[in-house]
Amino acid sequence: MPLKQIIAIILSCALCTAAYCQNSSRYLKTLGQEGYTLYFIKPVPFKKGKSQLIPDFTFQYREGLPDKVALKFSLFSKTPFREMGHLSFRSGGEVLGQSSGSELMFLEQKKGKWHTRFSTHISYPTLLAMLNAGEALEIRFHSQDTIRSFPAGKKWRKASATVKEILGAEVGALENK
Amino acid sequence: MKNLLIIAAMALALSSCAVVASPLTGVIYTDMKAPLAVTSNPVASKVGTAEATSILGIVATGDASIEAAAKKAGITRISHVDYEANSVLGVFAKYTVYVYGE
Repeated sequence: MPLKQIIAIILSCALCTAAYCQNSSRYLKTLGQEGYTLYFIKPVPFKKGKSQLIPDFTFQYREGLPDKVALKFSLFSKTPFREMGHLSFRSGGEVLGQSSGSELMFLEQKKGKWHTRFSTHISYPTLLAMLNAGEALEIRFHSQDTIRSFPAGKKWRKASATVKEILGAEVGALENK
Repeated sequence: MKNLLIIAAMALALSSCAVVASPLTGVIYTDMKAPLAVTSNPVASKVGTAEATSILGIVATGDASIEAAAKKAGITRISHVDYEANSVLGVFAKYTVYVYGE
């Protein structure tokens, strides 16, 4: 068999494997614990100019729907934020929900940008609404008089489609959004 | 002879590409998950991640330390640590650490 064909076959196999590996573990991790399953939706960046908001989501699933989802996010910006009001989630002008409570985890400067890490909570139906919104999702960061908007990108579109399908099957209640 | 030269050239070219630490490595594609550490604490209610990336094996940046991942999730008691290694064609490589704990 000519070398070109061998290389072509190897590359084809590699591309198929790479495509096949676009599975749930790329976006979601689950861990069985005593009495519950821990779900972790991996960080996905929401960019606006040179600023970035990178949220990740963690919740414990027992029986029935989870009470709340822990949302931790990193905010990379030129100016530091020591306090936040809340996050709101929108899709095409419609408000999908907002976060409750907030805690500043840390604030540090890296390469001329401020990295602020906050911890907050959202309801499980709000998470489902965010997943359903796909690329139309917009996250707004409210801090005193400042509102910063971060639109979703392709990464969120891919992640939300996969995670929505998995959560719909394993945790359920997509129709109760 | 020509084929051998091509193979040798490819091997030479790939040997200087982006590689990522992993128990198993694919020259063309790597997507590996493996354990890194475990403690006596069995409870995990939080997860933190940290990552480092490399492009062409020329530039490598990031903080994929356990400390960084634990700090991001507010973990003070670590349960266990896993890692994930990804690389594509030796062009792009990513090393991600997952810290579980409470």
